[in-house]
Amino acid sequence: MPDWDDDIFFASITELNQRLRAKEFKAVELTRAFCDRLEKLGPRYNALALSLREQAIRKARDVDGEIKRNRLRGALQGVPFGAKDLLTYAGHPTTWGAKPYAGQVFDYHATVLKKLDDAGAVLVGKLSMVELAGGGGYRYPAASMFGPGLNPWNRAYWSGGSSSGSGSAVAAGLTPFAMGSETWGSILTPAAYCGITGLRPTYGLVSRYGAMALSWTLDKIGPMCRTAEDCAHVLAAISGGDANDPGSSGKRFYYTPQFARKLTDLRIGFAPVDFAEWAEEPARPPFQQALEALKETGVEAKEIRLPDFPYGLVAGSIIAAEGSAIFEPLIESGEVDQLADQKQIAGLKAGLGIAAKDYLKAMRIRRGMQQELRKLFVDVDVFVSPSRFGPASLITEALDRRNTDRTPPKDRGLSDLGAAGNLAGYPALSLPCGFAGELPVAIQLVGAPNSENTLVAIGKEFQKRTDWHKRRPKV
Amino acid sequence: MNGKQITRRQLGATLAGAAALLGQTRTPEPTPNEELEAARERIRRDGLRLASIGIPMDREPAFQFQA
Repeated sequence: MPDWDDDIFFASITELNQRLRAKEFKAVELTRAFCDRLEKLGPRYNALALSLREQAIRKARDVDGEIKRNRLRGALQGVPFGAKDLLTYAGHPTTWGAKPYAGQVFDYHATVLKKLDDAGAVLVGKLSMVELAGGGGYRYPAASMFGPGLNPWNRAYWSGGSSSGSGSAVAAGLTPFAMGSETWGSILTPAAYCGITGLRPTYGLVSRYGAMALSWTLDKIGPMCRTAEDCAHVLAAISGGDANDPGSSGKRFYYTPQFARKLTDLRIGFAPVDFAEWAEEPARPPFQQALEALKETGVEAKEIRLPDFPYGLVAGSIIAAEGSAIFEPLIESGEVDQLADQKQIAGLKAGLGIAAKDYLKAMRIRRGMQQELRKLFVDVDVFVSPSRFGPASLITEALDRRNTDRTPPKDRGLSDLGAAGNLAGYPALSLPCGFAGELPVAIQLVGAPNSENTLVAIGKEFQKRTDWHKRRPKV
Repeated sequence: MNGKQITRRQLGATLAGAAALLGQTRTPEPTPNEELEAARERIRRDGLRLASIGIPMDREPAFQFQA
C-alpha cells in the first residue's frame, strides 16, 4: 500500500492517469484511498449522498487488469470520480436531494455514468445537491435533505448550488473530478464558490438520459474538475448523441488542443462595469487582475454589451413552467410539502398556474434573444465576466435577500450573462481567479455553441499563468 | 468532560457561524400561505411583464418539433 500524501488527492486527472500507467500505484489502491477520504471527510461538508465503495473497488480491479494487459483507454482510466445525486446509478438510491425521493431506485445507469464507466473512470460515490436542483426557487442553502453544502474554505459559508456536493468534493480533494448539472448556474456557482474549474457544455452535447429533469429546454450535464484540461478530458468521454435524450444534438466533443485557434487570433468581449461596479467590492481586485492576466495571453479584448432583453424574467418563467409541469405528480400528491425549503414548495405549487401564453411568450422572446446574441459573435469569440459577482454567502443567509440594499449599476454590462448563456445554450467555463478574503472567486468564459475547445484553450493558458486552481483549503 | 475533544479549527468554525448569525438582521419568516401568495403574485407580475413585450407574430417559440 503506497504511503499517500495530500498531493495525490489534489492531483489532476492527467497526472493520476500517468502515474497509474507508470504503475506507481494500482487503481484499486487509489480508489480505496479516495473512498476512505470521501467517507471520512464527505459528511464534514454535507457532500456525500452515498458511498459506492464495493462497486468502485470491483471496477478498479478490472481497470488494473486492463492496464496490466496494456489495454489503455484514455485519460480517465482508473481515475475515481463522484456524481451529483441526480444521475441514476442502477440498483442504488437516487434521491435528487429531496426527502420525497429518498427511497427512489432505478434499474438503469444514466448515460453519462455508462460512458464514464466505458472510459475506465471509477465512480466512488454519489454527491449531495440542492433538492430537485433548486426547482421552484429556494431561499436557503439548507434546501436539501443532506443539509446545506458547506464550503471547504470555510464551513460557515455555502458551497453553492445546486451541485453543492460536487463542488465541495473536488475542492476538498475527496474526488479528482465530479459530475454536476446546470439549468441556470448550478455548475458555475459551486465551481466559483469552491475554487474549482467547472464546464457547462453546449446544450444537447451531453445526454441527459437518466438525469432528473428540471427544464427540458435548459438542462445540461457537465464536469467539475481541478483544471480546464481535465474538464476537456471528461467532456470528451461523456459527449455524443443519444437517442434516449430528445434534446441531444447528436454532436460530439473531441479534445483537440493541437488544432486550437491561436490566442492572438481570438477576441474576448467584456464590460468594464462588471468588474468595477457589479462586482462586490472585495472581489474587484482579483477580477481586475484576472482580466489583465487574460489580456496577457495575447487575446484581443473588446468592450461589449448584451442586447437589451429581460433575460432573468424569461429564464425564470421557462424554468418555473417546465419544472412545475415535471413535478406535477409531486405537487398534486401533497408530497411536495416534505421539501426542506418553504419558498421552494410555494414556487413549485404556484408554477402550476403559469399560463400557457406566458410560457410560450417567454419561449418566443427566447428565440429573438438567441438570434440577437448570435450576432455578437461577429465581433468577439468569447465573453468574459465574473462567474458570480462575489464570494459564497453564509449558510444562514437568505439567498433572495442578498445585496438587496445595493443599488444596481445603470449599465447592465454582461451582468445577465448567466441567464443569457443558459437560455441560448452556450458553453461556459468557470476559472478560479483569486480570493475575496478567504473565499475563492472566479471568472467565466462563455462561447458560441460547440466552442468548448476555444474555451479550454484560453482556460489552459490562463491556468499556466496563474496558480489559483492549485490552491487548497485546509481540510 | 465527556471525553469528546473539540479542535481549535472546529471551535473557530462554530464561533464564526455563531457570530455571523448574531450579525444578521432577522427578517420574520413568512407562513406557508404567505409564501404561496407571494409566489403567485410573482407569477402574475411576470405574466404582465411578458405580455407588455411586443414581438412579431411570425416569431415561433424556441423549440422545434420534428416529424
